Amino acid sequence: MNPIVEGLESLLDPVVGLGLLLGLLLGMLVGAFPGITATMAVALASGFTLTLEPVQGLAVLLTIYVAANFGDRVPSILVNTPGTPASIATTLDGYPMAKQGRAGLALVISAMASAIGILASMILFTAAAIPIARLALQFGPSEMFALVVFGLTVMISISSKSILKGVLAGALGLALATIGRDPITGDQRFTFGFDALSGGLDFIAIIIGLFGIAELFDQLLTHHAAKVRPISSLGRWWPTKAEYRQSGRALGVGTATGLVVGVIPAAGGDIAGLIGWDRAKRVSKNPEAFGTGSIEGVTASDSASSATLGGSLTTTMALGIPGDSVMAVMIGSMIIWGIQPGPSLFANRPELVVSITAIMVIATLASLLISLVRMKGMVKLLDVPVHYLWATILMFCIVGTYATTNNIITVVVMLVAGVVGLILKRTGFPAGPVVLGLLLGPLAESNLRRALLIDGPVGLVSSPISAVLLALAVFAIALPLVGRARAARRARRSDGDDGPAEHPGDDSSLRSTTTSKGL
Amino acid sequence: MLSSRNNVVRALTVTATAALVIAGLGACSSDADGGGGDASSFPEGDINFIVQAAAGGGSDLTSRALSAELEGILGTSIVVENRPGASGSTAMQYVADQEADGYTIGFAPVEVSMLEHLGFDVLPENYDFLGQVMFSPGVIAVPADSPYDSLDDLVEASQDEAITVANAGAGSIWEAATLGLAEESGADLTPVPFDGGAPAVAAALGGQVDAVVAGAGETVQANADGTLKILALFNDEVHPMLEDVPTAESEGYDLMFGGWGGIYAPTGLPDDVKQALSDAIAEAAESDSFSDAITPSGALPTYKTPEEFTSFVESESERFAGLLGGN
Amino acid sequence: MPTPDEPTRVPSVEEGLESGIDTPPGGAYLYTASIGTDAPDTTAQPNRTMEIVVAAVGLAVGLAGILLAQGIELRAETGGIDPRWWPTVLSIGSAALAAALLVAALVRPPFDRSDLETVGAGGWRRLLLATVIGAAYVAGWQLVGYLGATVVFLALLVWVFGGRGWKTIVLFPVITTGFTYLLFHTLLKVPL
Repeated sequence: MNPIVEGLESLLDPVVGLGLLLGLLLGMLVGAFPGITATMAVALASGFTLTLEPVQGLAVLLTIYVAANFGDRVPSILVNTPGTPASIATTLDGYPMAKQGRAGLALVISAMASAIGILASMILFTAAAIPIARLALQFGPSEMFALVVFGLTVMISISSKSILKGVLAGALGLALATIGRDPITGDQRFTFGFDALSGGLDFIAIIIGLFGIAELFDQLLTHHAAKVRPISSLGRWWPTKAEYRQSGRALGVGTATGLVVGVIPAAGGDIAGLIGWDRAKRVSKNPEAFGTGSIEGVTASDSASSATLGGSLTTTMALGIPGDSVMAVMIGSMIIWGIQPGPSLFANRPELVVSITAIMVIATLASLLISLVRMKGMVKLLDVPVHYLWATILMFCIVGTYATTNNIITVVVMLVAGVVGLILKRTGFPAGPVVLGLLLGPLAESNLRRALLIDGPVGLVSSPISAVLLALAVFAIALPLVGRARAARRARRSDGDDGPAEHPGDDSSLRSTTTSKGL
Repeated sequence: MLSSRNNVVRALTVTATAALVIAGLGACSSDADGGGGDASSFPEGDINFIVQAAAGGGSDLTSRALSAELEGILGTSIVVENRPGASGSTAMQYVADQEADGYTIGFAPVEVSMLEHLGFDVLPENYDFLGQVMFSPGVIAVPADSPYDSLDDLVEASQDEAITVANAGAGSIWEAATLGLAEESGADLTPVPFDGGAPAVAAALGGQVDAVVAGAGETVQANADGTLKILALFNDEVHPMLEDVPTAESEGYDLMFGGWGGIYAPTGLPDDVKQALSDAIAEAAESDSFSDAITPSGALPTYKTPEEFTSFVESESERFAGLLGGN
Repeated sequence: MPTPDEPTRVPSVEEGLESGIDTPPGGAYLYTASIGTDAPDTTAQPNRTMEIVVAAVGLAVGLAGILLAQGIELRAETGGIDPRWWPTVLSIGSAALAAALLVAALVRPPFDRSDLETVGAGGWRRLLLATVIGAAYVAGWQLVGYLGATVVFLALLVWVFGGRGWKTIVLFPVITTGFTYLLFHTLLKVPL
């Protein structure tokens, strides 16, 4: 029988339909809950899906994977707390939009961008999984190092107010990431004899603290009853034609970034979202709006981080190497079902590849539909009186963080990160670079040292991929610095003297927007 | 922590109720004061099973498969708790700190004999070992287009230029295995630690390193697809999934390295509880459904009695002390 | 904690009426300064003292980092790019950046803070109480178990945040605690 027909036919099973529904529900829920990730939900669900048929089980697991990628955007936009690390970049513009009363619009745009990102990546998966996966294997330590150096340049563009403060915040993130065991020799660094620190600081706890708790604490501190306005009463839900047109370029750049980053093992939606946001800002006609509630910013970050899903699936299915942590769990389940991912899967079981693609597409469309339908209810949650909202956010952040390790120390780390985040926020240091440093620091150091172990210093530039990426990184640092210096000189010439906000290293064009959130 | 506390409370309640009933029937019972001390009454509540890795990994899979069997044999619920973090030391220290009443047991991975030598506060003497249940042997593999076709080729070539060997991470069993191979064969090997087994295998597939030391299960498919050549298995017998792969022993190198796993509890279990648990573990480990659950991932169901396992852990610990620097 | 003092703070309307907790009428998590409201300006003002303090703290942390990085114990001294190298590079870089920031804070006008709000009426009290209750909750969770600690925690929080009435103080904590217990303990098998 034709593998396409066979693959689609296996989805007609009512159990598959039920599995999809269950996956949707569970995925949306865990995605939206800060702390619990899709990995955890898939791991727990794989316990009971093992008794199902492979396609039925895959329907549950893949749908959780997809739906969580929609659910996690909701708290990012509404309360500045990424539901999972993949939606970190969504907070950059999504939360400012919500603050301006455009939460509904941000949610709609985010869901659409995510859906398009996933669908584009699935086209790539069906069309060219095996050759792409082979290409991904070219990414060794020296290429990874070059990519990460390039990723670190994003710090400059998310430091909207002062490059100096932004880079210093980035250095803090890089430094925090060195706590724990050295990646190459295993020696302890800055653990002060505590075994609990030897695994490093828990990344999810830090982002919940820096984003969610810090924002909550700032609200507690600065709440002015007289100024309160219910945000759900404001704004449109659907983008205008002009807004669709405006987001086109960001969508293209974001999706392309996500496709590339997704295929590379060890780089996932969190990194892709930030790089995609930065790339879109560089090519945008309104770069100064990025970080202040730009539709383009939300489009770019969400299409980029979602487009990594198909890429991860590609490396997983075509190489048998898990593309991300969810896929690592899923490979375990597949092996027990007797499905061995690898190049031979595409030759021997084409109908299964068709089923997987179909499940991913259906799950994406269903998640999009649910996201659009339940938007209003979600935004209405923000209308409940502040005492409920504040108490619930604080409690959910604590319980969600606890669930990542089942260890109360992680909660303490999260709360401390919240206090540090509040101090950073009040003193004008953006949280974005800290998280970027935490994400990329260990990758930068370990891949550099691995590359040196393998080939010595020559290896870093002898590979064409890494040489090109390193050159791009140099440009990415040099160009905005030159641009800022020139703009500052022009501003000084025309102003004659410094305004109260004038500062060396400040981008005067950025300062014109007063709502810049410092993220 | 909390759930164990709840369980103690629950166990106390159950024990107290049972004691009342028995007393009412005229029988004599003085065991209403603790969570089980009587062989005939153990277990009387849920047993917590601590796993040092996150849900979804090999340790978790083995633990859940074994727990499912144990539930039937012991006739009680077994709650699997994942306490990942800090190379597994978080879970190990947690188990060591629990009351030795048999209601907290855990998965004892090979790291329990290694962490002490990596500077962690994890000592094998803090545990009662209740039996080994699995062994997942390691392999050394090279990219398909590699000039080396046997372990001897590789060892010989390393005399001219050091061979780079990827492994799953600093302080991992596969790094230790690489060091062990270098020591045994006199080869000049440079271990290159990656962040997990999959990236290490990927580095070999992509040809960034000359070879990789990894678990048999992680390399079986690539070997079958012809993208990776497995040169040798670090075990004394041929692996059922890799029947053409010679053992290191048959190549002239006496090497046995792998990720093993068993069950442990905090030290000082009452003898009857220990007996009840180890009997149940023996039965579970030798059941067909347990073996069916763990073999697809390349693990071998391997049972050792508590005595054998305890001395095995000691000898492994001594071996790793030599390989890992011993401080 | 370097407290951002507010030299030119405009007192909010409520401040004279009640120093403590304010209960908003409609309530909302968010509010905005940029979209026209009748309320007095609550935008935070530039603050030189604060800029100097944070830059100095940053410099101190950077210098401490250099010292700590030299103190990392290695099992095998290899020289070159060893485990000390990256932390040392980072600390030196941070110290240099912080020094530049300190110079800038001293000689240039302070940074614009128009994206931040001033501290609201009872803000510090609210923040301090929430932090203390949060810490007590973490400790209490270990002592009396999840269910009891969470109900008390939520009840205290909503009270501090201005909620009143039995539905708010009793019903809300019980329902929320029950929901999370079901989700985490029963469904996700997290040992709470």
